[in-house]
Amino acid sequence: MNNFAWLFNFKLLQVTIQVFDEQNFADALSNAYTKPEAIKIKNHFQYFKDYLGNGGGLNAQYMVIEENYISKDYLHDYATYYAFCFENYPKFCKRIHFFNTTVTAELLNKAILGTLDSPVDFWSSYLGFIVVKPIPTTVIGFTVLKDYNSSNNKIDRHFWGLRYYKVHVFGHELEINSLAFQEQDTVLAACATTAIWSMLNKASTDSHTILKSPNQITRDAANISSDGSRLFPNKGLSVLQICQAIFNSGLVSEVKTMQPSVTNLYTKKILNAYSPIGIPIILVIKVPEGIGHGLHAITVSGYNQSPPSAIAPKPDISWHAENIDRIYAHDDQFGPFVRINFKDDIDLITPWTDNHPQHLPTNVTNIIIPLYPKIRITYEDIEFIVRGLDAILSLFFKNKIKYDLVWDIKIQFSENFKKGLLSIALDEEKKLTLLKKSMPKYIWSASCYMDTSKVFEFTFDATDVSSNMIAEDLIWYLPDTEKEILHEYLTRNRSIFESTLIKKQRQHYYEFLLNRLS
Amino acid sequence: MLLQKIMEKNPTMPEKLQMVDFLIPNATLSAFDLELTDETKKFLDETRQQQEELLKLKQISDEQLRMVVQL
Repeated sequence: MNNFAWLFNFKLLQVTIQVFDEQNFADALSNAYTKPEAIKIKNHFQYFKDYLGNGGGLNAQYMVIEENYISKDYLHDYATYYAFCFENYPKFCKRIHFFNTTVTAELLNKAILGTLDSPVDFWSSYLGFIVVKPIPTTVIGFTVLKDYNSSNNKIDRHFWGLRYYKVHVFGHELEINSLAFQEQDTVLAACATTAIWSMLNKASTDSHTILKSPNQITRDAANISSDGSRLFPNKGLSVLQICQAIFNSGLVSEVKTMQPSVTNLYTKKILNAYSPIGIPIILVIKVPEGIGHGLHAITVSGYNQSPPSAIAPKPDISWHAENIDRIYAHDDQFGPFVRINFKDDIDLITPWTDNHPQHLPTNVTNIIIPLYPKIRITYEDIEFIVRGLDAILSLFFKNKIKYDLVWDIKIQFSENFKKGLLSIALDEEKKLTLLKKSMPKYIWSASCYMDTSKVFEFTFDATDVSSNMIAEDLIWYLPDTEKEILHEYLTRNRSIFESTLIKKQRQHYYEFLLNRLS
Repeated sequence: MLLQKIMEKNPTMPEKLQMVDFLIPNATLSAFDLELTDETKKFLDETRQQQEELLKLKQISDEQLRMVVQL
């Protein structure tokens, strides 16, 4: 073990270098109130050990432990609650930095002073940090660690809910693409608050959304608990209170639910649809606990999804969202980027399931989607229209095509939609028209694939009112001859098909279709 | 000219699609009058039912809103 210390303004800044192994890690996470033996039985310890380890994890080799660290996040909570306790809880934390290379005192000194032969190699081995709070048991504070793709890049893994963090390490500014994590302290925050906090870490990169400390988020949710008792120590938030806290940070919420549980297909559709906006989505899940279940909140920031592929025609409508086979979520009772798999129609396999003696499944009870207020059209408004379009097109192509129509409904920033057009094979004139066209800030797109190719795409104004005809454009990637045939087909069968589109404005939707196909 | 510049920047732009690649052998697309057979009527009715089901998803009960998420 290497120790060296500097004296600075009466504060002893001690930096310790340790090999990353089980005992050293438990020691590093411990504090005056929580011994290493207590740390070792925490779910977080097991999870982080694997996440940082070398069996598919980040392969951490060494830790650099920084004592007497001021964590702004903890300081807010300290000033609000812990400072008023009779017990003299410290206000200083420690911060553990992880590297996937060998670190010695000499090497670290040279890296700090900038005198290394290849400083890039050293700093590129930086994996992130965990702040250890000086409170009993719930010690895991502000944590930023690299995601799975940093060590093992798989193209099917999409982490859409991440942001760049500037990490200042001994005078050096490093950048990590991740999403902050912390465990609930069970005093100022339960799981719901922590889930909102993680979500706001990404959402607040937009200037209109405010990042708040866990204590501020809980206060935003309500003045008293749901049962009338005091708000702190916090025992949890209701779905309504979660939405209230989200609202007070500058966002609005859409709450989705189903009975008895949200189906896995619907969860996949929602995650697929709203992920391009980049705001992590909160799942309220029913987890097995003891002989019963409890409600818990997690923050989803990524998923694993295979690209479009050939599917034989089938009676039910096909969705690209069905290709999601795993999601990654911050679960404050375990750690960041927890892997969650789908099982059957409504069951999830989470660490709660894995750790339960009977391995009872987890289920989704609610999906809470934080959104920018201008997004007014819901996913269901678009799926309603797409189901009608699919019915019409399925009858047109029936018994003639090799592949099923696969739909991909997504909400996007129109600026990103335009960027995507630049690399798509389209007539120059049509491309220029679309690129120069004034579009609403947010648009819904419903893309249709056959095999691996996008064959057409409908766009809708996401900021309009649902009672209006919100279709903006139809982009046709097939040859124009097919367009003319479809136009004729729609004209001949208008009286049959008009009723399958949206009830209000159906005539305008049909006119839109005929107009875009002519 | 613009397209050429775009192609230089994005050399992997896919070629335009050909309908023949998606059709089963000897099939052609045509503008026909749809016959409202029982099968077709059932298909359209099912579509309408599925659309109606989507509208029900918007409704969340008071009880659900007040469930405490506490673990």
